[in-house]
Amino acid sequence: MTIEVVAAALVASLTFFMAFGLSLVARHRLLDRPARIFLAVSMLTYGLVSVSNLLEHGGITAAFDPYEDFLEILFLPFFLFFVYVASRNAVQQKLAAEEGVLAATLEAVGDAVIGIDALGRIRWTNGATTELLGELEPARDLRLRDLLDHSEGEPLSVEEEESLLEFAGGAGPVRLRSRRAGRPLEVRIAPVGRALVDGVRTVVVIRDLATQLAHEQQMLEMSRVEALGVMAGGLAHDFNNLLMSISGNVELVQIKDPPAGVGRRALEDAMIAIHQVGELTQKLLLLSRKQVTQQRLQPITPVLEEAALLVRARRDIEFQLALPRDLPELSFDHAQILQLFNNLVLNAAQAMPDGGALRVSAQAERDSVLVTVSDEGEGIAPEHLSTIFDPYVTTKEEGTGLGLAVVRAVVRNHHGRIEVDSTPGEGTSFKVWLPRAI
Amino acid sequence: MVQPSEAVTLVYGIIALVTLAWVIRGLELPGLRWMVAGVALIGLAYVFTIVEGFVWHALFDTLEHNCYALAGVAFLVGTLRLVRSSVREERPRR
Repeated sequence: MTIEVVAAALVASLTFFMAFGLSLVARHRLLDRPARIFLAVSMLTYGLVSVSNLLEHGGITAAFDPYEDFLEILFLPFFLFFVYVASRNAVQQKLAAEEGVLAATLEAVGDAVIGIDALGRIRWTNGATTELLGELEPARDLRLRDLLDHSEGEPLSVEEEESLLEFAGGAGPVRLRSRRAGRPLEVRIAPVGRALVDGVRTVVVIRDLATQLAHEQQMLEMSRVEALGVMAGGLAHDFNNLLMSISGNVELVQIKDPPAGVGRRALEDAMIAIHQVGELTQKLLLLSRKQVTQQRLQPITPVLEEAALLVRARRDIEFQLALPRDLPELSFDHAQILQLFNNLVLNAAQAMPDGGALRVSAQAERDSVLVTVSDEGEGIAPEHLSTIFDPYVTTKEEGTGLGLAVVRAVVRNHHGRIEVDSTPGEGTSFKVWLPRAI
Repeated sequence: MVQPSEAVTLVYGIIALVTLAWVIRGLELPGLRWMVAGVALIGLAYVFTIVEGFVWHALFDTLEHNCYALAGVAFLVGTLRLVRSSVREERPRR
């Protein structure tokens, strides 16, 4: 018996028993009750071994010595079970977290995702499936062929559906159609590996192509309009130069050798036509952004008052001009901004063939000046609202379809913003924001 | 002399330690390293138990019991860390 051994046995007894107590109260997320019990029991076994050593080496009794080996052998399995259970809990929690992320992802994606078992039955779907393919009947063992048809509308046969699922992933995306809505769809099929959750053998991802196709069509249309704009701009530029020459020569004849009678009237008509063509080329140049803006700081009020003069002749229109005196000066191209408000005022007047109130108002905002041109005319049909600023789009019999396109081009040239609000039968209101500083 | 039970315990301990090393891979549990150190110290104590049967009985007996004491301390630190982390986890987030 040595005092060192007794002291060591005493320390071991105390620490193992304290560890035993702490094991019981530990509340870590990886420690469920079995894990805590296994850890506590493993501590208890060595606590008991240490007490036996203390009693033996302290000279009190060696009665427990034969049992020490059994306790020592029990310690390691208990401790291993504790580690195993904690590891299992860690894996389960990680899986649960990943499953949560996967479930959230499946619900967040816009594509329909469908899980199909080995017999071809739909086992689960995400939220987008209902949006894309309609409400599924939960009582039925639905299959893909119950929901999808060929692009041409022919129903999928049993063999075709089996073939589709059998060659999952090998044949690339397939173009099909939803039976209920008739929407074009892109269907991708991927086999699930060894793991079968809910018996799912194949995952089908279905994308709605209607939006994509519409977008592609829109992009095509935009590029077509863009190309037309570039071509029109180039033509307008050259045409403008030629027009200057024609105009100059006509004016020269009118001044130097003015003809009489029919010749004089012909030249006057020619000058009128030249002016009209000149205005048209200016519009085309604006649309193609080939016209250089000459912006300078100036008040907007005179421009709005000048635009208002256009409809003074219309007695049936009650013109209201509400322009505060303290409007800040803006930096803009006078000719372009005048063209902008001329177009808006003329449009408003033309929208009221039977007369009505035409109101032009302005107000200063924090970073801009808001000018509103509103009428009590026929209004714009909702289906036309999205295209009214497109070039060559018009509902008027004699319109060129360039008026509002020019308006938008001018607003863009000045880094402003335009909005339209219209109620059919009640009137239309155009709001133009022009920034204070550019 | 070495007792058969001690030899069996040593072999068993080595197998258990290898198993333990394999099981704890990737397991992030506060204080686990201290506990594994405790298990290693107990394994070392097994070795000393056998060695003391051949040479320097008193020295290796003392070393064996010191290893048990140190293992107890290691387990105590390990479980303390576990409990402290539990308190942190239970504390509400601000």
